Amino acid sequence: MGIISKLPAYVERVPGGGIMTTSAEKFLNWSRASSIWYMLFGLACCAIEGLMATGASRYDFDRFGMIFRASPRQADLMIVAGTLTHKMAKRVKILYDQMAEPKYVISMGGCANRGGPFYYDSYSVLKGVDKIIPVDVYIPGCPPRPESVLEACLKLQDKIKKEKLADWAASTD
Amino acid sequence: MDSEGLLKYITEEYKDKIIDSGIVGGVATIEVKPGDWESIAEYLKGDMETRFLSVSNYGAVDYREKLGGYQLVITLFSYEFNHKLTMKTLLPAEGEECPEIKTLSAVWPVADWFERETAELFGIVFVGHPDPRHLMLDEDWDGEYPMRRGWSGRDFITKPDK
Ligand code: SF4
Repeated sequence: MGIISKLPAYVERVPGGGIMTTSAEKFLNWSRASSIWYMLFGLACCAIEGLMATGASRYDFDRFGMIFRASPRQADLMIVAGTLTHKMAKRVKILYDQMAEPKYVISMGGCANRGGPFYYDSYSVLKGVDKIIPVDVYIPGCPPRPESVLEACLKLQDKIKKEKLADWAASTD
Repeated sequence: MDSEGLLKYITEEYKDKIIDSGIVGGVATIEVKPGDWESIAEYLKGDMETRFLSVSNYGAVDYREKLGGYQLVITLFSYEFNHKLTMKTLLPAEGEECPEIKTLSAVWPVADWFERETAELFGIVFVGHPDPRHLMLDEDWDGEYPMRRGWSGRDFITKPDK
């Protein structure tokens, strides 16, 4: 990542401290990656681990600039945590469509990745959230540890920081 | 009343309606004809000796291959006497047909949701049901009943034999 992770240091060294030298792309990516607001999408047991335990003070999502929002209009990221049934799948799609670009999806747990324990002999569970919406990061586990949820968010930050402004502009058309 | 006493009382009182009875797993169990399903439910609720005011479980089993139909099973509970009764009936059905039976939701309002679930999972039609919509499955399931044996559809994946 180079310069981008050292930004505060450069700010200090410029006389006066109020000026930052960087490219627009890096600056925008840095600010976007540092304030990922995620939408609560707890569907089953994974929601307890991934959204509540990780969001609470012990694992503390807030230090990455992640704050939960209850509305898709204010969210950048959707963490699909839990068992996705066919009935819920339609609602997930609607909410995903309502999120403003650029938007990201983390698929959390075996259930959201590929149906998990409900892969065989289940009439009601969708076998993978990526069948209806694009997924950026998959977290394995049943349920994943809060640490792995944090790791997934860091991975997503890496991904955002590598984005090109031109691609981003094209995707919002 | 304990299970034996309860079973003895019920089989004597309603002997013309009961086709089979016994104690299964400590619970008094009776089997009735589908035509008597609603009337015996009313009697059991109103009878001051039994007082079954509550339904603790209500569902169906697909016995088309073994017995030639769907078996409806309802477990009744009495708060007053703290006793339980399982009541069964066999609805004859072949192939993909949807058998019909009278609803119990007029006797026990709680039976309403149980019947909606049984209806959508097994394709049993409850005649006179006040609200025969889907309960659990999504809106576009039509003519498909996932708890029937041998059903496969959507992205159903059967577990391979080990
Ligand atoms: S992956 Fe495991 S913990 Fe997560 S929702 Fe599925 S069953 Fe629950």
